[in-house]
Amino acid sequence: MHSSLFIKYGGFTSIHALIENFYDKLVDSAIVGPHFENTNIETLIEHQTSFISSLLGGPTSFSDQHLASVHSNLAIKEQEWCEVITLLELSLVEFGMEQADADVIINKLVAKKGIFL
Amino acid sequence: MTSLTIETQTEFDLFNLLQLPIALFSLDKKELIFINDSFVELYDSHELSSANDLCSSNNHKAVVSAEQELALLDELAGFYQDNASNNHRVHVFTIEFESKRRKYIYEYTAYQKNAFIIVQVQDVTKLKKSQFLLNSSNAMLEKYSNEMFTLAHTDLLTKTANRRALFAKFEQLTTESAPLEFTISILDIDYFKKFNDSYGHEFGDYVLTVFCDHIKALISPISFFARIGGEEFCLIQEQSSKSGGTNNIQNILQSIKDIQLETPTEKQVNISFSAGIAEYGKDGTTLDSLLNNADKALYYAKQNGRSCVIPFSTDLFEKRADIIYAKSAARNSR
Repeated sequence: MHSSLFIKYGGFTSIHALIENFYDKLVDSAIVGPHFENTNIETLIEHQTSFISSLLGGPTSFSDQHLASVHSNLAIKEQEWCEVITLLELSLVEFGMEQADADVIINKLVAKKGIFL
Repeated sequence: MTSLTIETQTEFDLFNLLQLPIALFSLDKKELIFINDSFVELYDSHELSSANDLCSSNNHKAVVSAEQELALLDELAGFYQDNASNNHRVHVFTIEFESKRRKYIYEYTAYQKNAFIIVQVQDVTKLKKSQFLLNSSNAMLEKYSNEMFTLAHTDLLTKTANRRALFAKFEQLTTESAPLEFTISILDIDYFKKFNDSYGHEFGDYVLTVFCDHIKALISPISFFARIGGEEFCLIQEQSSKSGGTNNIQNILQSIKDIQLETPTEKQVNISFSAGIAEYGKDGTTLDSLLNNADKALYYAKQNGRSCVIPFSTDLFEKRADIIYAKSAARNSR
């Protein structure tokens, strides 16, 4: 029995590897890839590792207010949002996360959709 | 000084025992003549669109982009030409490249030894990643450690310091080098058992919470307030004499007595407390002795009508005996 999904899936080191794979998919995507041109992917991976870790029950990273402010200028479209969610779910599955646990993460993220769009 | 000579493949293979990525550049051939397994692993971890064999003269092949190969060989050749006759030199340089839109930085340290340049490679990107993971883990451990400390030193119901925190505070105060002047008081809510018995434990908990919140709002920032038992609390007042501390607590008592609490039966009730106070130095120098003497004064307060603050003195019980004798004499004279 694990105290959190964060512990169950190996903490920051494992989740960082998961997020690296996720970002490989994002930059290859024809739909969302252009968003990542001229950006510092390493920094994004670090931030995303902290964020997904917090969704898994790890230490709190960013407030909803902070997330809303950094995404407000990106004008993310519905199709792009769906692509990100799909690629994340694929990354979670490839990482070896059980489907029930992956659903927990996806549902938590979907509940925050209004913050990103 | 013995010169470096590498003559056989077996000798080359010794470099494979090293975890560090190592390459050998021949000054005669102007090319890399050997790369070890770690070097190959370092480069093979990237998927590159165009690839050249960095070193083809032994069985190991590292796949690198043409730009990388050129950059590395240029640096090494330049290093040699700069000062060809000067042996044992060290040259450090970095080469950046991109793969999957991610930037990678490798730091090379080249050592010249006779006809060879030995090149050692450090993956700076990997180091930075390790640094991030280490910092994240440290921050998490620090946060959890602080949370554990707070939990261990806080009363869950009233969110007030607990007995363990009181001992820590006393330890901190008495190990400070500055001259000490502080008082320790025990405050006990009057007739608390009646609240519990008449209106239930939930109401009792409510009384405790209101009492604590009110006192914490009234005491000075340098005072320390802790719950040390059921309805018993301790107040440490720094930079305060016994008379000053007594006055402060009397003011708090007056303020507490004005609070009206609504019971589950919608009846309004008031609360009050009794307190005993002892001064560090005069009434004891250990927490046990100070608490003991403050408790004696509290006992005196409870025996003399409650809702009052009594400073500890050694003649406290003589005074009490006088009062008892006076009461007894008054009864007898009736």
